[in-house]
Amino acid sequence: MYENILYETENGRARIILNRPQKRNALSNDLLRELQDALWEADDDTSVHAVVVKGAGPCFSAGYDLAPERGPRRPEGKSYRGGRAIDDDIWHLERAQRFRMALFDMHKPVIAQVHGFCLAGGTDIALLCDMVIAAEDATFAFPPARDLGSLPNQMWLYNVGPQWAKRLLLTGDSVTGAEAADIGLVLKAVPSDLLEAEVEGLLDRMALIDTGLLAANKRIVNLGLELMGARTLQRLACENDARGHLAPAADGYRRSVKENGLKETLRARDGKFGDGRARVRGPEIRDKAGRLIEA
Amino acid sequence: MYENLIYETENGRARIIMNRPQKRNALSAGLLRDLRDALWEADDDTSVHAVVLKGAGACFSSGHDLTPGQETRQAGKSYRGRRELDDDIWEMTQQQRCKLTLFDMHKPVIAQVHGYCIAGATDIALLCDMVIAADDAIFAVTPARLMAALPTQMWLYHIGPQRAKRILLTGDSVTGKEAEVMGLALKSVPLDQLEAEVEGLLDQMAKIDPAVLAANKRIVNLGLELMGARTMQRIAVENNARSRRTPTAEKLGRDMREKGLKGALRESDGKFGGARAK
Repeated sequence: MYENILYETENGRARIILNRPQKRNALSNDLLRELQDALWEADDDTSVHAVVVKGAGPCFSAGYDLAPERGPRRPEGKSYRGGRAIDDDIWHLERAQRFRMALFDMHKPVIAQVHGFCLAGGTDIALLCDMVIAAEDATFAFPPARDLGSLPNQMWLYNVGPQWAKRLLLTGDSVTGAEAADIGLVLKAVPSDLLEAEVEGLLDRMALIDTGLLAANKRIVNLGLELMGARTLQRLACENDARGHLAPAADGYRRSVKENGLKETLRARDGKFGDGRARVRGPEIRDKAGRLIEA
Repeated sequence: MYENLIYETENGRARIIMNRPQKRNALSAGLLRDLRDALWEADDDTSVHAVVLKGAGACFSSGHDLTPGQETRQAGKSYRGRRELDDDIWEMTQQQRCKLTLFDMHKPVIAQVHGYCIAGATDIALLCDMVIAADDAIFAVTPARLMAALPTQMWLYHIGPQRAKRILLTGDSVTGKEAEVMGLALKSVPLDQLEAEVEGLLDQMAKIDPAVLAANKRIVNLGLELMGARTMQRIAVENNARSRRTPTAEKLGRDMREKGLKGALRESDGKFGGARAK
């Protein structure tokens, strides 16, 4: 039924497992469409009280699929929007966003269970969930902030406030799961071997509660976010990302991918930033290679 | 070129150093105009990726200049005074426009705070994109006790309503370290490592295309605007003017004229003892 995710229901919960481990669960359009379908399926299924979203293999998700295979699934003789004109870019970004917004709009709560990398688009998914529970050694970052654009969802502000949002979004630097808990990007971080038990324990508790009540309490908080502009901000985030795609650096990125390949392009970009880490508490002292050293 | 600040550019960054150390970098109308001009200069200069704002001498800034000299004005013309409510609002709005450059410009600005960051200085620091403070810096809004509510209101967005009120309803101070814990500052570090911390962050941003930096700064600020942050600033000016018409504010005004600024403030702040929040 699903090609890019696994879907299972048990004991009052649905589990959605992003399942492209060979591509670090890169978020293709197909994966996002399946995620949306599975979320609405769980929201409709009366046996489900709450949902967990997690990743198969070594990480939650490395972000949007930057090297998608173009499927020949379009009818012959018809012409569809390309990606070059700014309105086409915005249109595509909005379509993918509609898939993700199911997390925010559905009535039942969703927990993101994050281990390993949660990068770029992976953070868009995680932060639209109602709670994020992470392994202490998980990695959160938006590396494309270094050359490509801004995120097509913007929920950072509401979780960590303007200063930490900018600290991370203006550098692409990363924080660990433990640091993410410290600044409020995630609800909580636990040792990675206890992560699943932590999330399942929380699902056990929500499975005891009537889904109508869970919905009332989820939705009043989300309504508050909407009153702070959160829904309009998502629309603006797509337009803002498209604007970022027009930066000279983004042209350089696309040229470099053509000439040198994706891996080399990312290696050259991120190499300049050393270990690419932010430090939440205490001074950032770096060695010559740009790696943080203990104070 | 600038009378009240030092402006320099180097290695993809601009440094703006408020430079009235003999007055603890008090924010006169002239300094705020210089600040505005320097910020737009840096925002336009393609060699600059990001800006740091800091203070010369012992502190970041002790706030608005309460004893400004007379502004030079054209002879034979009559200008708005400060007594009428609307004139008051008009003048504070002029100053606020200078401050809002920090929020409106496309490039990121870091406030590097050491020593005092009091009252009007917090207006400036909190409009910056990030505040990095020395552990022993002092943040406070002392005039909240007798004189005024701030003409800028970004506290709510940085630290939420309870903590904002704890500080604004008492005038009590917090250290840089406590400011980090509250979220008022991104971070605090020992004073001797403050400059290295800020310059290290500027090094990172100097590697990023300013247009990409702008996209990421502005989407966060758009989010703040959708929470009302821009209208809030206009209302903060009116609220400031209103607060300066309370009996205690008017008494302080009289005391200042009779006993001078220092005498008047000593008497009023004395009541609050050490006056630190913890």
